[in-house]
Amino acid sequence: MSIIKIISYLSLLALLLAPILFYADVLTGNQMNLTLLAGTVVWFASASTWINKATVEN
Amino acid sequence: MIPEAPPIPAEVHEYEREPVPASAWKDWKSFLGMYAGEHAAGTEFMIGPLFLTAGVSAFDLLVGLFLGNLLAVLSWRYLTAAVATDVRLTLYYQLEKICGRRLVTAYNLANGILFCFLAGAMITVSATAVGIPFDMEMPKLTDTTPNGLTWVIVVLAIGAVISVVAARGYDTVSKFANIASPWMVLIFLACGVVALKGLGVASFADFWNIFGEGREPFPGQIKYTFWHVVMWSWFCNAAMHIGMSDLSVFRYAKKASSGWTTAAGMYVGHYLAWISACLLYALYIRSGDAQAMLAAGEAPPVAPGPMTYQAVGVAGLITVVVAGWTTANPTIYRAGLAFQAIAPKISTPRVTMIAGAVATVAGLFPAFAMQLLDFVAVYGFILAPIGAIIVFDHYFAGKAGIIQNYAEKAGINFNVSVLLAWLISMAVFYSISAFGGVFLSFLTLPAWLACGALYLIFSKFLQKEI
Repeated sequence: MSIIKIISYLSLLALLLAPILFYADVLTGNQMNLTLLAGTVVWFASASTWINKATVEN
Repeated sequence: MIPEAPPIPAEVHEYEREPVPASAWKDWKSFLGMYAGEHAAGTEFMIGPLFLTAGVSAFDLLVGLFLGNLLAVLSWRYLTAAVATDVRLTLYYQLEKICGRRLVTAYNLANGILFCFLAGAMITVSATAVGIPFDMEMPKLTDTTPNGLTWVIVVLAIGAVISVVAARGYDTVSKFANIASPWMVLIFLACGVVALKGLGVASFADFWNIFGEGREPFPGQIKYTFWHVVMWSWFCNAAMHIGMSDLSVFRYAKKASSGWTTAAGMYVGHYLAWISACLLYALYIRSGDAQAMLAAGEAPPVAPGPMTYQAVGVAGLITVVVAGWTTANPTIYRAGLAFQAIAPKISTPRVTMIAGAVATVAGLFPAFAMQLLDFVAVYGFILAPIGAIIVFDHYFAGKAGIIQNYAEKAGINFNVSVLLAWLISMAVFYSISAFGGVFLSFLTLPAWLACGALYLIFSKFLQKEI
């Protein structure tokens, strides 16, 4: 698995964990919103380099 | 989706008039991601809250949706995928064999118009997010017409962009939708978790008590019971499963068991996403503004843009715009293709622009989005009976003593038996709904069965010896 794919999956993990940590009072609302926005940017920037290639190969 | 139109895979343009060969068959994994992504769309932000406006109880929502979605999955598995892996043809070619080319044109017209209205609802959803920076007044639940100049300008701008992109760059948006799918599901989940915290949910009992035993529906809405939720969620995609639209997808499946993959779409999009959106609205109606509206006898607006922005910030706004855009785009493209089948001399970009213009005009009227539960029920009710023709012709033609694929074998362009069965079943059961006050989704299955049975009866009398 390439580095870029690992970064993509980590961004998805951040998107999954941010609201859970907010629910558990570990993150504030603003911190969660920033994490979600950052995760969004990183996901689109990284996944756009490989996800459609993987679909075509499939 | 809703009843949302699935993105068109590139391979739909292959084997359009021949069975898909074994070399092109795909295993179940190819369908899993596709269904999971397609059913987490812009309209889910509307459908979830609308259940709350219909006064559903916790049991109705959680168990009713579970059962309705299970019935939808079984319909895909044992009807759509079963027929698709037998015949391995597109819906349109299979219909042409039974009905004749001219009657398929009538089906295309109905399909195209309904797709435009559906895309219009998605444009409305996107407008509630794009309008936030302009301090736009959000449409109310009971609004049917545009509520101001800002609304008109925002909808026209979104409609123009979506139409031009659909006409010029369909592939790009299709690829973008592939990237957006997993991200969108997680943002839906985030909205649900944030709403749970806002509602003070610390246990399953707290969660259950949000909906409790249900309540009176909001002004202008009807009360949904357990069976309303079951039947509506079963038939919101009726055009795709019992209506056989997804023959075009499952003709590539190695085995009919690939039909089980639709469960990914149902339980991610039509369970998790709907409940998350429902929770967002439950949080919103506890606000002072919403309570004041309820006290005044008005229904608080269902505006996905402000609700998601309040919950998860800018990422939520992006999700509403992207969800609306990526689902409106293929819907407009499909509507264009349906219209092009009627007027083949008009180029694809031009006919897509025409479909986009119709969808944009529909998007100006919030009624399509605000009454989405009703519209989706009508959509499934109109298109599903055509699937009964295919199923009954496939399984019962021999037993009924009629000729299978009659139009093809008799060399006719118009099979009167199909038209009569479709029109009579729709007219009878729609009248029962309209004049008898019966919830339309309760009548989708009877109309479907009646259409299939009438087709066999009319064919028995009207088919000529070949």
